[in-house]
Amino acid sequence: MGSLMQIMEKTVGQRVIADFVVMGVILLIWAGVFFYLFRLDRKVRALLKKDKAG
Amino acid sequence: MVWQLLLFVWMSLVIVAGFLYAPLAEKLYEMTRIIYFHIPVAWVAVLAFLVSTAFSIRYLMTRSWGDDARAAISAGLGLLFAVLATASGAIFAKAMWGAFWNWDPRETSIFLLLLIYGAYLTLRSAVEGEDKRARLAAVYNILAFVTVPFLVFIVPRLYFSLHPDPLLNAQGRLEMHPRMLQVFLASLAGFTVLYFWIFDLGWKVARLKRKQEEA
Repeated sequence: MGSLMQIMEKTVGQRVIADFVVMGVILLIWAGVFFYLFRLDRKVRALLKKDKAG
Repeated sequence: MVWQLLLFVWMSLVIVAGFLYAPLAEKLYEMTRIIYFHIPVAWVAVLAFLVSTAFSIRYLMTRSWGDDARAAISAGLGLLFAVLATASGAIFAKAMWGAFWNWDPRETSIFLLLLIYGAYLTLRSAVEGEDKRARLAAVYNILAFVTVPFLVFIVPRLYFSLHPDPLLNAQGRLEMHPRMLQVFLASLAGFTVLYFWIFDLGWKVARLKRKQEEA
């Protein structure tokens, strides 16, 4: 059972706090990935527009 | 732009719902949450390989560089999502079985799949001459996809596996708590849209590169 046993040994309060920490980290990673893609998309759109105009 | 912001909100809600709305699965405890990431990225990997193969078949009919470029973009994305599925699977394995890698049939088959598609990208970078490279890569890609259903769906079910399919779908059906199923399907939809967005971005970048090379 590995690390799952370590999780089970924690109190409910500790597990709830850990849940919120992990959720926060995942939200931050998703926000980072999204804004990177969003900026890239805007740059590429601008370049394509410029290319069409030229 | 609006749909991209909607995707951001959608996926953020999926993450929050995975923690606060969906209950934990029996025997999986906190590891339940990995279902909302691991299965969707594995699904997107298969979808990307399928799209890549479709473009390879089209390339052999049209001989258009665009079809070859899109096949390569999709195969690259498929490989990326397969790596994410493997990494999340390894984290699950560490928590449930005590080791990141156990050479379980499921792990072995995904490892072979990574090698096969890694070889596709290596082949692309090794062959000189655009037409020759595109033709060889298209044929290899079609042959590579023949192994996908075999490695993803058949082999892991032929042998005893530690993979927790039986916990989730004992009769080969998706048996989850309705709330879990809602979050899972929402995640599946979100990752699918994310794949098509990145694929479209890659295609736009490839067209810009091509124009720059031709100029």
